[in-house]
Amino acid sequence: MRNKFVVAILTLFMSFVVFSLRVEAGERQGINYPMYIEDDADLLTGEEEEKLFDDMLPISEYGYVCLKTIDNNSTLTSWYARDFYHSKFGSESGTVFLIDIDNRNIWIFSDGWIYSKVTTGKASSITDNFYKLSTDEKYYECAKKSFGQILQVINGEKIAEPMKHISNALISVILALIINYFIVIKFSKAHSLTALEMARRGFAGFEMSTPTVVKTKTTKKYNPQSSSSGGSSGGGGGSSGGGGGHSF
Amino acid sequence: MYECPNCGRNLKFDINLQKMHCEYCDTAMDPYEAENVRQVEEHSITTSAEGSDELIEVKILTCPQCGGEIICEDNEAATFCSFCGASTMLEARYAGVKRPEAIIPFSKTKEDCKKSYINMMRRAIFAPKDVKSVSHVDGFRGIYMPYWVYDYGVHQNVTYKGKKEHQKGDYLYTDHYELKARVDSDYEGIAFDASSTYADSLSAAIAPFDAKAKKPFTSAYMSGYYADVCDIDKDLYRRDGAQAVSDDVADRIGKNSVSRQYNTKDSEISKAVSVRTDKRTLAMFPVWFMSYRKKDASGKERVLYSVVNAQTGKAAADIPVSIPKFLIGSILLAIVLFGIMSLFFIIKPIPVLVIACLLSLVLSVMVNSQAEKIADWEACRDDKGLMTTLYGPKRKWKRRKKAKLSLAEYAPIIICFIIAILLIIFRPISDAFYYAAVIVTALCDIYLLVDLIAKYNGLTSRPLPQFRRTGGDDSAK
Repeated sequence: MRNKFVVAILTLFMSFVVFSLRVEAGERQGINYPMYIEDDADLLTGEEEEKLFDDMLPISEYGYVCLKTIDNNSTLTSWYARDFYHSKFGSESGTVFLIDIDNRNIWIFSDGWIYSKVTTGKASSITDNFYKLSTDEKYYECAKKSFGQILQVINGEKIAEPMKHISNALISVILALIINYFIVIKFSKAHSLTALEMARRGFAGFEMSTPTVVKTKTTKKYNPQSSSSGGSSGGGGGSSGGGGGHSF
Repeated sequence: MYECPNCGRNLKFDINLQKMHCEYCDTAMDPYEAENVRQVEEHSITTSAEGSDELIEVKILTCPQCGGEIICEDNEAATFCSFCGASTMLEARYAGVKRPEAIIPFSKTKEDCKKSYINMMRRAIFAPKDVKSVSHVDGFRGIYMPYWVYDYGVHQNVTYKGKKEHQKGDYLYTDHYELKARVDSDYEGIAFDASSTYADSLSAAIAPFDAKAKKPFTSAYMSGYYADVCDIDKDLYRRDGAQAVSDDVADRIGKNSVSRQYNTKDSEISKAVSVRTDKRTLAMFPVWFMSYRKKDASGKERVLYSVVNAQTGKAAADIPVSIPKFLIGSILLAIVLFGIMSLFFIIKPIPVLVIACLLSLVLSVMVNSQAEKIADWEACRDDKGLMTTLYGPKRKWKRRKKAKLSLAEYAPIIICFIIAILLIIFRPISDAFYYAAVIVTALCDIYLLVDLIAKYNGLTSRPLPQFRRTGGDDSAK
């Protein structure tokens, strides 16, 4: 009798422990931070979700990691990503990869320490590299490869950014031509004196008596004063973090 | 010619000594003394007419190619025309010209001139090698340029308007005032070039001369140098100087502490100022002058001028741009900018496309503006003296041909416009389309920028001059 009671208590205790460890579906305990997959748009299979958790695991050493998919968004993808992240993780270190089917955008938003590595520019480059997979409806591969490059960036490895270099190269050439054109304009011609400047150089004396002042008339014009709006807008709290994305 | 009293050779004005100097026996002589000696020994056509109509006999050299005339005190033959750069024997004749009343002698030697020129060319990093070469710099010639020098005065009671405003309820009240003050102001030595062959743009570029340092005229200072002929009417620029004086006086009146309280306007004050021309003097100012012939892109001969103020050393020149140097310099700068941008910026294709399209619009406007300037330049419409000498008052100046851009110069803006329309309509997802559009638009911008530089070069050389000359005595009545 006593043994049955002990077994029942132990079973109850173990169930409690197991349930507290096994969190709700879409959440896993990571290395230092938990990982989340919220597939609201139902883009991934269960097997893909499990595999994706393995890809997200190394990143969880540095912060929260989350994959979010949505198919209904009345705002901008960037705003949704930011608001979602802050409501879930505050300003703590982490990253979220968002697939917005409604606006057809993928977006990476990061904050905290991870944001110091995965900057807005890096996020843009990563989404630039893999948006085509989402276009082809290969959402799992897109998320997997994106998280892979996020990890590369965190580890200080270089990622391919070909489009950035093309843009910068073209802008550099145009800027260089413009700067050199203005150098030519500035330094190729000596400053020519205007007639006024010549007159000033020929100045040989000026005397003026104190002017006498006579009032001639007074005019008036209707000029209603608009009521000034009181108060200034309060300074908003600055939001931390940032990210980038791409349409697909 | 001024003969050395000791050996009979030619005396020339020496810049370092500031005296007449004989290179053979080292005799030095005051220029006025040399003039007195010459007037005693030589017959000269000098009529003591009233006022300023005194003439001096000079040897005038005329270029058979462009008609440009230059005065030479020496007996040496001249084989080079300073105005069109032609290497040809200039035709000589003697004539009487209006005697200048003052002169500023050369104080900068040819070596000083070369140094000034070389210093100036150091800043012109894209100039072609030939305009910077040592042999090129040797081509400077000392020429006295005629200038009309005006002294102006303002001596009057000036009446001008002022106002004060104040708000009362829903009404703005303006109190109007009349201010009156006695003004006495003087301006001296305001100079404008008096030769139609000497471009206004060049004379303005090496201005000012210190006209207060001018001396009474004697031809002795011109020995060893050339002089340009005065063919501009004494009153052509008088109003320009008077207007400038009026504006400056108005500015000083406006800055008066009482005037400032009454919100006076300089433009209104200027209208109330009456400027009197106190004095008008024909003076010769020293200039080191060089002309250089060069063919343009179409193979047409053009002339470039370089001038150095031989009193102050200020240099100015028509400096073209070497397109290959410009492109190489731009590529090197682009590499540096690329490195900097790669560290800090990532620009997405759409912002790059927008920037490139806007830039092509701005560049098209600039190219068109340059074309208009070139049309004015070719017609010499910026040179009031030359245009008035050739055609008379401004209302009689020939209308210049409207500048026309080629289809190739309109094409970039059309291409950018079409690209933008297509992207807006089709909104492709793939970046490849946007980057292709960016590359095409950027190439259009680069083409326009290179065209802009080529057009700029059109403003750094001049068409070979053609001066309408009747010859004979320019001051004969």
